[in-house]
Amino acid sequence: MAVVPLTACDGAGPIPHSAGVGLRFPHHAAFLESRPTVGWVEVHSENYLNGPALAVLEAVRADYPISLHSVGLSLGSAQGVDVRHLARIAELADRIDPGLMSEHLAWGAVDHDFLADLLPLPLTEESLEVVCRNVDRVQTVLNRRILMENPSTYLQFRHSTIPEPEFLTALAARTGCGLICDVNNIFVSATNHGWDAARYLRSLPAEAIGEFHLGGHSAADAGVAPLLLDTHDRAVAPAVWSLFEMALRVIGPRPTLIEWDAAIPALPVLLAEADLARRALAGFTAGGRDVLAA
Amino acid sequence: MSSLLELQRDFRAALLAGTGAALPTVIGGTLDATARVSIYRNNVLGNLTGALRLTFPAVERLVGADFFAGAAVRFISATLRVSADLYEYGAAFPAFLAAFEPARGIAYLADVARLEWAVSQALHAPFVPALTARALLGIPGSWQADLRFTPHPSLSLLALAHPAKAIWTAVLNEDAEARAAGLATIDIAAAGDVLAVLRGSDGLALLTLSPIAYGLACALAEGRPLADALDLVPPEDAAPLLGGFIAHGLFGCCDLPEHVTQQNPGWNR
Repeated sequence: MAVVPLTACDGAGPIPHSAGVGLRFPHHAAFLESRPTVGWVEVHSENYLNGPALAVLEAVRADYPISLHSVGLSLGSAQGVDVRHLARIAELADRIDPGLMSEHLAWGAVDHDFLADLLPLPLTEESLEVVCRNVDRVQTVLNRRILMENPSTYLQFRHSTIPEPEFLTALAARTGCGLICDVNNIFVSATNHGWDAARYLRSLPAEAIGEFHLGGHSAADAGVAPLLLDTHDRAVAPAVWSLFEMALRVIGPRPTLIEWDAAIPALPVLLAEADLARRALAGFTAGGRDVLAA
Repeated sequence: MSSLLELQRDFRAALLAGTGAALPTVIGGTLDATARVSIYRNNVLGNLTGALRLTFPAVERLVGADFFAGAAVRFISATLRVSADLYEYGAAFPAFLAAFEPARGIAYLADVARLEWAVSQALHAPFVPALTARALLGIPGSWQADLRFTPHPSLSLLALAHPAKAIWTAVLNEDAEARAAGLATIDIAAAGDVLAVLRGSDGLALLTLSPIAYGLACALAEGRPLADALDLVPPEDAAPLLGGFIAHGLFGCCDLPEHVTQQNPGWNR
């Protein structure tokens, strides 16, 4: 079957509207040896600050556009952004010249203690001001626009007053940042909190969305009501693929990342998953539909 | 209603304590606040324990996965994490193990942990060129007495009470039979290792040092002027020891004395 031409191996530069994969340590050797055909590569910045991992990233960036996705800037922290960590991320950005940089709508540090997780924020005016201030700071230091990702959450706060998509819309409007639409996170949070996932999608500002994320989730084994965990330990669920199709109709094609962070399979399995995303994207890219049908 | 900062402090405390009781602002519903906070607690403990596992694989082998996980949870609850870079997490784990009552029976455990921390630091240190003999020989002899060395960022100097290197090497053998055989040959009452651990041009290096060499390496790594540091060793040992350190890449650079740099602004390291 004929498929759309691949956009792999363009070298460093902007992230194309194609499918990318998250590069994780178990795939380093296989990735460098096989130089697989994939549109772009994402890494978690915090894992590539130094040492052999940074050397791998520098080798990969020669052939692939790179997205630096941070997990430790804690942009929801009331006490602001850690100066040292931001400086290290900025230094990495200078070395790698990524096509995209991004973070999460979450917090993970308080009183100089980094908790190594993406923790939920109450969605209030105070939180919005805090996140805007922190995003402003990061964008100023990095001298570039970043994308902010909608989180998956397992709890809500009584005093939250702003629905999550409205919060993200206001954040983008006030800071000029873009957004990552993590389709799996919408599905997970909507299931956990009884939200309408389709309505959530339609509430996002399409023009601000710069990237889609797709990943696998799992069901928590305890509890009476369904509770989904954003585990990234398996293939993308059929229901999330359906929601992605809807996101493509509502928002349009964007660079799309497959995230697989635990129970990491052999590289070809990850690449096959990215190929599914590429085919879905191709259906929404000019000319792609015809080629796919050939 | 709590401010965001108060909430984040309460949330951290609740996470580490494993209770949602202090978080009245969390909506319970079908799952109570403690159960919801527990999901995040499990993530935090899992992520941090995973980081410790990666850094201290020999310690985990020596005590078993369950014991290690239990020790990790106690350590995580007792120590701040000062960096978002998980490679920088665990510096205090060896000292924690040394004082950890349930591990008292394994006297060498903390030393193996110290060695593993040094190995991890060496592997993940920034790539910085080592000071070379050629660079050093280019410095006029009259300035050499006051040179101060900067240790290579991958360098750790260890004076351990136990033969941790042999235990570490044996326990990380993937072949279970060879591992058991290797461990059986170790005299755990043998003298402690004195080591320089660093990433050299050929990768990880664990160099055994004599007590004299260790004293000199420590003095230089602390930034003592070269002549002062060399006073610590017999004169005939000075050149071979220093030459060996340079050849192995123990130092990243050296600073000229202040009076020299002021008078010779063109000279730099």
